Amino acid sequence: MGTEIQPTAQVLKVLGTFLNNPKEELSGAEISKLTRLKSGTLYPILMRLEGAKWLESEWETGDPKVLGRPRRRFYSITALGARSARAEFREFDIALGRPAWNF
Amino acid sequence: VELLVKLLVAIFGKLLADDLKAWFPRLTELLINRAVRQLPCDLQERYAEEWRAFVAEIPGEMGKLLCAFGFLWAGWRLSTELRIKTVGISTSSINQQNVRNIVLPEVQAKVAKPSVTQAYLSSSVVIPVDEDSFLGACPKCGRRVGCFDPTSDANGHYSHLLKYLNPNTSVEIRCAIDGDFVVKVKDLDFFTDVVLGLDGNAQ
Repeated sequence: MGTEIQPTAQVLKVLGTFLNNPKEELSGAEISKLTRLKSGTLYPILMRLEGAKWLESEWETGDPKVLGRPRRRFYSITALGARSARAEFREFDIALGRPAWNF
Repeated sequence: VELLVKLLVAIFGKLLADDLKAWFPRLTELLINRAVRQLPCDLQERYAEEWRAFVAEIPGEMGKLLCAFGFLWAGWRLSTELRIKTVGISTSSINQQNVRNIVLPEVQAKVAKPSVTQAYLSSSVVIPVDEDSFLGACPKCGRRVGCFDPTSDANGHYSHLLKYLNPNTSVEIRCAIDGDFVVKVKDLDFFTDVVLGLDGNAQ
């Protein structure tokens, strides 16, 4: 997977969600709800960010049979992701002439 | 009469709506399966479970269905993005005319001792091959890899390639994208390049 991340508005939305919840692990549905991105837009972004090691993911613990539903996949931001995301936001703010976001 | 028509519409409308509603879960499942099938084999299991879990969190059957349509789009996008990152052989894009020209020099340039390579390649059986398919079938989903049609092998390229990619080669095949396949010789990077050469140059 490539490591080039294009900081589109949607990518920044996803990254912003993780920066606002740095210690939280979020499922795809939760990210979708928080970012208001639809599944079709969200997953390519998640895949790219995971490929670039900005995000990591792991399965929910527990047996699907016991849970009674498929396991969720939880995403969390890595240290590299947090650093890179902050840098992207700084650049974004500078480009817009706004004070930098403070995550 | 008007009253009767209204009554019938109301009854059948309700029945139709109920029927449709009953079909939604199956449709949702179908769409997820279709979306997942677009992905490489090694990602299919993961996304199938992940997307089913996602859908399970969406309230309402219509919402689930719309979400599943989104996955169809996501599957296509993911596979398109992966297409440029994997070595794919398109069944339609290989120009057999170029095969000999590409493969032989590549192999000769990258492998000092072709005979050793040959010995290595025939050392293990990995691919299940049937008569009609050239490279075999994806070991996970069973989709067949039929890059070449032996009956139209006018220039003998099929037989030539068969020497390298025969049933005894230690080749790993898996589906990359719908209609495309990844072919990789285990532990031998050069062969991936050869295959890449096939794909990259065959237009």
